[in-house]
Amino acid sequence: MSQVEPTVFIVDDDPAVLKSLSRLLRAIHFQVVTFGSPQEFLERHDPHTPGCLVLDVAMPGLNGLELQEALRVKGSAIPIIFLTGHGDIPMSVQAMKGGAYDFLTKPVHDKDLLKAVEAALEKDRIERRSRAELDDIQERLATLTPREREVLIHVVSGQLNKQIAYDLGTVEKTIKVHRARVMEKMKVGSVAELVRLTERAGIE
Amino acid sequence: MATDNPKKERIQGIRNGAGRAFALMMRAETISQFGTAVRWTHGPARSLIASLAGVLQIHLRPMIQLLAVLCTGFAMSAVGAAHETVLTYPTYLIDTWETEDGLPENSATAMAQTPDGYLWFGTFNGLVRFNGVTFTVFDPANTPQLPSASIVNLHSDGSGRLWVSTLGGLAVREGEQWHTLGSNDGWPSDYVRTFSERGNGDLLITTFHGQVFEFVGGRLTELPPPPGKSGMGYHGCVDEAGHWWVAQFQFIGLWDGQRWRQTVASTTTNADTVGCTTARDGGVWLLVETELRKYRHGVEVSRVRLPEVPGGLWSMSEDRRGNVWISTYRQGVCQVSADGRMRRWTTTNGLFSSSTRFVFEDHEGNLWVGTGGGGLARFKPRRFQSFGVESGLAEAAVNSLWPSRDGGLWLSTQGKGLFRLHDGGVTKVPLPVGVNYAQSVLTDRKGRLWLGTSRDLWVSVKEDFRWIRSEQLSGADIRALFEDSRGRIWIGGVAIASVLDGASLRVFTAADGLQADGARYFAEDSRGVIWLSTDNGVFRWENDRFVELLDNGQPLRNITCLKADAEGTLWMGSRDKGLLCWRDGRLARIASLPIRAVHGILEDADGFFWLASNRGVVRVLAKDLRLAAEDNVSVLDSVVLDLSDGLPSVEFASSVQPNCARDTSGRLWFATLKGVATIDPSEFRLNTNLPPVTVEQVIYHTTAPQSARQPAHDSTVQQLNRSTTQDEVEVSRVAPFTEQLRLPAGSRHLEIHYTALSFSAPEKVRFQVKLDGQDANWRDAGDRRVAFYDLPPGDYVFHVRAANNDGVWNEIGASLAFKVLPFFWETWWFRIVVGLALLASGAAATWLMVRARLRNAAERERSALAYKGAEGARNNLAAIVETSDDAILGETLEGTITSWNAGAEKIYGYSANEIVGQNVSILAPPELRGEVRGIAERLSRGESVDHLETKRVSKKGMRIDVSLTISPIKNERGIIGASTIARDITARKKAEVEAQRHRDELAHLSRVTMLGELSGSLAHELNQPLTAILSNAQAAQRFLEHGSVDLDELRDILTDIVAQDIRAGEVIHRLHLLLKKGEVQQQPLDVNNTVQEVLKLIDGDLVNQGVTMHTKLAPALPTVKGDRVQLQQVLLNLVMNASDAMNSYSSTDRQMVVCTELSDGEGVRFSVSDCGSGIAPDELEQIFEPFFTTKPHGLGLGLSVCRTIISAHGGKLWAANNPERGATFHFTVPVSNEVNE
Repeated sequence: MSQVEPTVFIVDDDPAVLKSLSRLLRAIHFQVVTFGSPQEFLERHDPHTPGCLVLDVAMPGLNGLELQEALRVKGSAIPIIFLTGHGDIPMSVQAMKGGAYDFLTKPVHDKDLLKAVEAALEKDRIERRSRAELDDIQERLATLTPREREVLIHVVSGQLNKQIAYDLGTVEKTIKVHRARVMEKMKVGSVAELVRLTERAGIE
Repeated sequence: MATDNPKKERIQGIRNGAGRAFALMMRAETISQFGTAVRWTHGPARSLIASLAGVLQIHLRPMIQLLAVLCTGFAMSAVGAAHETVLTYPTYLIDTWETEDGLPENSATAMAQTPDGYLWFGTFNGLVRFNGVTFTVFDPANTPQLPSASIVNLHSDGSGRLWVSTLGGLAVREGEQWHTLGSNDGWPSDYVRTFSERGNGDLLITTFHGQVFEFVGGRLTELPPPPGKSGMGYHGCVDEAGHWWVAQFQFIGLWDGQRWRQTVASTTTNADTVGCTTARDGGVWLLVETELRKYRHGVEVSRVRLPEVPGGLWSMSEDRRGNVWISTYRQGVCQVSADGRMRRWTTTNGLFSSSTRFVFEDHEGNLWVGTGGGGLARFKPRRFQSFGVESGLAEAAVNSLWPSRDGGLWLSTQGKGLFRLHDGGVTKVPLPVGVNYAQSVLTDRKGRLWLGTSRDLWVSVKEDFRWIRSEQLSGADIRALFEDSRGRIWIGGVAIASVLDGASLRVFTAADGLQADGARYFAEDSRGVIWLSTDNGVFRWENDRFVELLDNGQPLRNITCLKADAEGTLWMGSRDKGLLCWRDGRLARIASLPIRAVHGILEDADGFFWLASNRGVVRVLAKDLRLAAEDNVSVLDSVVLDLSDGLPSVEFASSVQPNCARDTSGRLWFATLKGVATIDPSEFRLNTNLPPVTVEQVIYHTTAPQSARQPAHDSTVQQLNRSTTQDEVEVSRVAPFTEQLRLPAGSRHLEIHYTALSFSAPEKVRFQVKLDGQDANWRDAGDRRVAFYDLPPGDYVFHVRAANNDGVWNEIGASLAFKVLPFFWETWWFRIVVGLALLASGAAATWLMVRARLRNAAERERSALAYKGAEGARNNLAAIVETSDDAILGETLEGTITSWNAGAEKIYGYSANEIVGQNVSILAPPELRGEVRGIAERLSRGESVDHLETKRVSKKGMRIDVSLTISPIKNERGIIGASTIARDITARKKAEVEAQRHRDELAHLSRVTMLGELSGSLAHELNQPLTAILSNAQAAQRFLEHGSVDLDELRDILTDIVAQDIRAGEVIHRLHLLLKKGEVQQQPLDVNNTVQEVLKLIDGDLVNQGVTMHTKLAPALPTVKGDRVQLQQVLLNLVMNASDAMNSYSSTDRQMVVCTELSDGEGVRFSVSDCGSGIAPDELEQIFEPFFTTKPHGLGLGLSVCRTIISAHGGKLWAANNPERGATFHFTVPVSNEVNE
């Protein structure tokens, strides 16, 4: 949830391939963590860690597609780049349907991998940021009292304190207090910012 | 595309030599070159546009710039109210395409639509074909038949020909063929001003410099120049009688077949104010300065006086709604509607340039406006009209709306008060002092106007805005107002639910069964039952009490709106579950609608529901919804209307009642955050134009560029250099695909690009594709492209179909037949040849072995008889000996031949006379003389020699394969000599060698076939080390590039590369060994080692198939005698069969066991067990017969070859079912003697 450097996770049962891919991605200055089996990844993966997954399709035990499914069940939206030795159509179709981010054929060229990884990380970053921002706004909104919430709605619609006070049947001073508390609780410095937050949170 | 230089030359050339029209056009063009820096689209509007596009989720280029354009309007005086404002009528949505979107140039000179559905337009940088998403540019560089890239005019004629007038001459495109009209055809070095076409296909072509041509019966003829101002072009058109008309400021008239006849006297001296165009209903439109006149049969039938001169006239056209469009040089386009009103569009209201060239209407009714420097604009007729701040509303966000009784509309806005939309004007309504926060607005049948605010309920009894405040509801935050069929007013809001019946107000409390959270939405069904929703539940007012609707005991939450049905059904809009239906105590969710939130539900007179949803307004038949609520229908016919249809926003007012309404005329109204949107359902027309579907391009990768090369005339093949390896090239082929496309063997990554020619909202066009041979059903496909990887060889037909923006499917779509050619070993004939060869050699070998066995038996029998004869039937002996085919000879102990039968003479060639008395060693080849001595020694010891297969020499020196049986002849004194029976086995020996060769060949072919099936596994085995090598090497390259060379790391990388290279080499080596067609070598083999090598080879395949392999290899097994390759082949075959046998089971059940063990008396026993479904008892033996197969693609030879191999090794191969599940194949191979001894 913070500014952690994103990580590229690689899962491949072939130690030589695992090592070489890890080395290549490190050479491109990515932070890399490797796993020798899907089970290991599934057990140790924290969905909160930003990053993407480079996954070999064909592995003994849990195969790539099953891992994809398991991750989904676990609630991880990590973008997955599948590696396959053999462009197997049914499998790629299934993977894509399951939300695979990309499908690369082994041996994979560094440029293709770089492009796919960068795009996947970007997707992950955007999704995470959007989720985090929304969570954050919702959290702040939850701290408002019903009255403050009402005031907020009036404020973002561009009402002056006086008007709000009239509409809500109270005095301007009270509204000022409410308003200050709303600004404080929502952690914003300006009405414009407040409007942006409420729009983002979808408040009518 | 032209480079800079020719462009400059062109500009100068025209400025020097051409007439005024071109000078003007070129000025526009020159401006366009600098225009990007000053165009306003780069300002904030651009970001607005971008964000709108984001809402629409348009990912494809060109980015369609949605611009909700407010069009020119007219003032209406609002009746009896202050704050009069001007209301504008938006009629079109304007989207613009520019160079950023793929246009070769920001100017479009002319436009046409060919019958195949493509739009074509001209620019000075090429002829452009448009499919709604991408632009394909034709210029002399790729189309040599085009005389010039500068396109002046276009026309698509009735026979589908596309006429292209360029600065370099006139070209005609017919199908894929181009013709050029030059001076030989009578075409001058001029450009086309106008094209006009008669019903029979004849053309009138006028040029810029005043010439007039007729294209009749395939011939171009120049007509005499009309008597207007010479050197100046004419506008042409054709009247209902088929007469050509021309118009210029000094002459307006028609061609009567002989001469030009003036029909109308021109009343102007202004050169650029006269023009004409063909009217859609026949007749002629004529523009002379400010007068737009219409002629039928030469008589003026209508005349409209325009408020001003439209401007320097470039072209005119009429659309299907009867509007005449006038494109001007510098003053934008003018629309003159059928009722005579003129509206103008320029840079002030939506165009990026006011220099316009044409207004062209496509098959779907979209109007395309070509500009000089401002790109190509599409004017799409709006389905929704909207009224917002641009129409005079002080605030865009509308909370609530309700039709007024005089055909107008009441609108309450967020914080800016109440408005009245009336006779086309927007008026602000005076409110009680201080009240701006109008929330809910309603007029009842008595004509009272109700207004709910955040703290009061107000009513104006006579709509005279003398407001009365409800004292009882003072302080209540009113959000919902509803009048039921008995005239009661239901009032809801935050923490308030009440009903006003006559003068008595009843406020509901917890005692009535309602929680304290107030009422948000009311509805009444046909029986008069009132339903209401609160923040936390939905209730029915029954027997003076609220009864809550519970779904499995749970309250219904997040309900935003209600609509009670005529049939006693309650429809509910939900914030997160779309549309819900309550019926007979049961809740159903209409899951097949593509929406999440519903904020309002209206029903029109034709039985359609119009849902205000998070994706826009969804139109769906109520009857279908009822069916869907009963049993979950997966597909509902619905149309989603959104920004592309003119909705100002897809965010609707929510949690306020009323937020949408149907007025007495049937018109529907919706409150949105950006104004109010309205649609007349009776005028709504589905876009029923089936979108023509076309396959545009096919791209594939092939490793065989030579064979991919097509015949020389085929210019559609392009080899691109996007290859990833040296051998692989990308081949692109473009339409038309007239015959089956043949892709060379080994082609991969097939991409098919297709399109559907619907231009109303290309981003909403949906596609489905199907590949015969792969897909049983249609599947959704996006992106106008689909890719197939590694299609096996065979014939395919690809189908694609498309639905337009309203979901109307062109079910026929388009198809593309193609064939992926096989490698020779993938061909059916090769498989048959292999099969037949295997069959033939198998049969031959079997036959030969059977025969040999029979012959051996016969031989033994005959020998036995001979002995018996010697002892028991001496009289017959001589006769038997003489008639025998075998050589029978007698000899002394020293080897001197004493007797010689006819058989001997036949075999050895010597007659009895020649040979009797000679030594038998004469019959032996020199190198085998020692053998003869050895035999003599054995004979002298009284031993006999039985069936010794050896070689002898005939009289002629020929080597003969013989089988010798030599027995000592004894009498009472002891051994006195020997008898030799020799049989010529040359033929048998030869056949045996042949049979062995066949067997080996067969085994080899069978291996080749099997390895074909294994290719997936092999690719995996090879790809692993290759991946490691490549990634290591590229990592090293990058380290080196960065200059951060860590020598240790580099050393490690190189070590890994070497190791992986060796690993790849081993895979190849194993493969090579198996594929080798070497001599069969019987040698001592390590059993477990042999097994493990096989498992390595197939490991990848097993992983792919999810098979778990267990091995039980007995330690310290003796070596066996055999051929490594052949035994591995048998193992591989059995393992692959076992794997196949389990592929219908779940992966946890796919367990395989391979065992080796010492088996008494048999040698080593190998077993392969699977957990499949086993083998039918009557097939346990049958499976070893040639051509017996249970696999759809099997040849049925694997097991029969395996059995042959194992038999040749002196072992046995058999199958047995396991006690629990599956089957086990066993085979034995004798232990190698060399180690045992």
